Amino acid sequence: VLFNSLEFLVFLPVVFALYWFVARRTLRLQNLLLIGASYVFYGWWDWRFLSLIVVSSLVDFLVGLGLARTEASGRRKLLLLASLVTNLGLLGFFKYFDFFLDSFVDLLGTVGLQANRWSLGIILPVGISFYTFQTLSYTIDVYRRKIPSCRDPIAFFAFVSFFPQLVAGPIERAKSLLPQFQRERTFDLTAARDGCRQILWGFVKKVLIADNMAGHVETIFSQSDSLPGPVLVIGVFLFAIQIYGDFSGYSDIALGTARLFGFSLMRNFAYPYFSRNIAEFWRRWHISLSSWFRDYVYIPLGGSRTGSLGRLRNIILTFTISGFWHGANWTFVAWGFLNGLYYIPLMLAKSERKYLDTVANNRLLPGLREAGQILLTFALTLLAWVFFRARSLGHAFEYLAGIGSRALDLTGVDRLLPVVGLGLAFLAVEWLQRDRQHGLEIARKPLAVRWAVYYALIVVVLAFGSFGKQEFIYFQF
Amino acid sequence: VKSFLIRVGVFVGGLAAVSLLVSVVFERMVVSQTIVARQDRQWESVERPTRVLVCGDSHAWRAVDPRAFVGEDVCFNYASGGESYFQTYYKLKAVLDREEARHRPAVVLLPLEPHCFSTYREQYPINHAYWKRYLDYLDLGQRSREMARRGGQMVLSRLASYASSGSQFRALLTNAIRGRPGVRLTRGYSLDWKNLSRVPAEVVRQQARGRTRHQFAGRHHRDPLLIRYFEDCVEVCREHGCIPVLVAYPVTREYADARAALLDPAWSEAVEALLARHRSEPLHRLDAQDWFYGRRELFYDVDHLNSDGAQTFTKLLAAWLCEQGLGDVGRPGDEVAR
Repeated sequence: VLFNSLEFLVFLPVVFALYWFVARRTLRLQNLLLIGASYVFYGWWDWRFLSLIVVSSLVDFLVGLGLARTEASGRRKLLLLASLVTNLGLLGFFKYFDFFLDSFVDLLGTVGLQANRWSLGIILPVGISFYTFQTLSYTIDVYRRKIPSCRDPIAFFAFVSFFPQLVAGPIERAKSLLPQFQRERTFDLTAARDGCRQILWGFVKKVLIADNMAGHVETIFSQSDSLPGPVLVIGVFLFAIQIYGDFSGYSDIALGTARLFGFSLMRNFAYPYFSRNIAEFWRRWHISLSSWFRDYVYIPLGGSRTGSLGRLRNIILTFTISGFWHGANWTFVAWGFLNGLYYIPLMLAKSERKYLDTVANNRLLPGLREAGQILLTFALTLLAWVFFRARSLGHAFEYLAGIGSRALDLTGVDRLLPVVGLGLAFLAVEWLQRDRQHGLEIARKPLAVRWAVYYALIVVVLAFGSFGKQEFIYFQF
Repeated sequence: VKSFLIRVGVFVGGLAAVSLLVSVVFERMVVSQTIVARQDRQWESVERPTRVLVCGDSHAWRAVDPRAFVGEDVCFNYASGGESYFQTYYKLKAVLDREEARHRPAVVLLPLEPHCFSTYREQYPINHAYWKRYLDYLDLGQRSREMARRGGQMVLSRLASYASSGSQFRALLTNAIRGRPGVRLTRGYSLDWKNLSRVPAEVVRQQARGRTRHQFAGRHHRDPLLIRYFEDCVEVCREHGCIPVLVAYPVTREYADARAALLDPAWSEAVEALLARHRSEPLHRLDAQDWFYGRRELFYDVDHLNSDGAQTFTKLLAAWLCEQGLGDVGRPGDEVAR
């Protein structure tokens, strides 16, 4: 079920009513209901791939139990290996098999050997990258003895498949989410009301902002060989807004929905486009994935405890792997690598943890220096987004070359001004709300103002939004 | 939880009221200005009987200029951009049901082109604020086995008819700001003087590839639902004593080439088989797709005629109809040499 579909409008109230009125008697019943609802939610897309979630859940549950029963180091390692092989094996097969095969054929071609190009035509199961990482974090944390193993299979299966964040995160840690499935949940009116606001804001970002950018982005990137440079710049700006609205909108809907059921999920976005350097950007963009890679890749590689060269290697490796996580294409690898490169000057200057506060706190506008830093960071991000969005590395370089070689031609720019205006207006609202958890956190405003805002937003979303056409971009990852 | 649900209930009730109010304003101020709504009003006011009724999508709408027939009151162009067979069916049925038998058109032109049967067309966005007056959503839902989707559309078209109508708002607003007059309609048709011959050949080829990729990107090139509605269109014409004439409108060579590269090779045979079902009462067909190959000055884009093209084509169409004995709509060969 897509969040932006009519089915979800029916699904959510039905599950909500069953959860709080029928299943409220026991925790086990509530968790069972959540498993059932989550499996329906996922199986609506393709029920066959439910088996992957079941396998992943079962293996990690059993591995967790096994780890609790043994202190022998060798046996513990073996159990961890079993979890890693299963989860990464599933991910590798479904996501990367065809890619590696293609790359291998290309490699043979470069040394003059011809091989038949064939692929299995494997369908990528939606959300596989998210739930495998979530269950992996559980096994690794149990292995590291950071958390106890879970003995309640129902709670564990519900944790792995929890529908609000199943297909595109946030990638939750067992330490924070699993205990929520093991203790009684009570309905919190304040949280539920704010959850509804967050869901509405998520829809605004997705349906009104991101989906209205999507068509323009597609046209510009698909015809980039002939379009003027300024149009190409606008194209990547629109893509930046699109991917942010799309993904953070999904996260907002997920967080808000979870709050309706008495759960608290981790924040995934914190106004990343107002970051003053790349390090701050990565503390604010897809926070659950960045912290996952920090804890399970960067730190195990040695983190910042090694020498400068070691740190440099760890940073580049972590970012590159993170890029590859996004998809089986060299463009994502280049995107990750480029972000790693951006990080190096900050690392050398030891300023990667410089900006931990909100920019221009208690002020309406940023200072000149802050504005310059934000613009520079945004420009670097745009450059990287070209690689992220392009079909291939060649396409990305052509796109960038097009910006340079046709820089003075302004044809077609005027037609894009309304959509650019929409993007800027969205950023302006985000700027005003940047010290809040989400853009529609307006609980302190008078009731009449709040309801007028909600009604206006809903009417505008219905009128100008685009429904049932655009899936969430991160579903493909 | 109960207190929360009460609040939600009150909110939803208020939302429904606000939404209905916006819908009414939208329909009065915006929908009534759309081309399709104005076509409806023109159709109500034209003299009866109209001998030729043009139905279909933008290919038909752009191709037939009713003023080019010898008698100006011979034809009415009721086609509209993006119109699918299922829309045509419900509209045609409603229009023919309403007409007195003696006023019904003698000939109804229906499009017979590959893109009309492609799944993309079935999923094309619909202006429900207008089409709700014709579409039978429940019947459509049953036939397409998409009760939830079509039922949802029905509810939305009643409660929030402005949904997904941003482009209409934008167009009206832009026209108002720039002081542009609305499109002028004559018997359903409007002029367009854009000229494809001014566009570089490579761009034309690119446009053709882009257009056909879009048109044939869906699941089927012969969508069963659309085939069924096409047949129903034919049936509804016959039930009302009208002669259905199937027309493949002129396109550019570039468009035809790009389409041929994508189209299911079995398409032609499948359509022949489909039409063969009507052997007892053969269907009249006019394939004009290649009539204007190499004459880009008659097109405004790769698959739509401009006003010159429409004038030329309509005269040829009138001659052809005459030749076929399909009504007194022109004198064969006296307007344009083939």
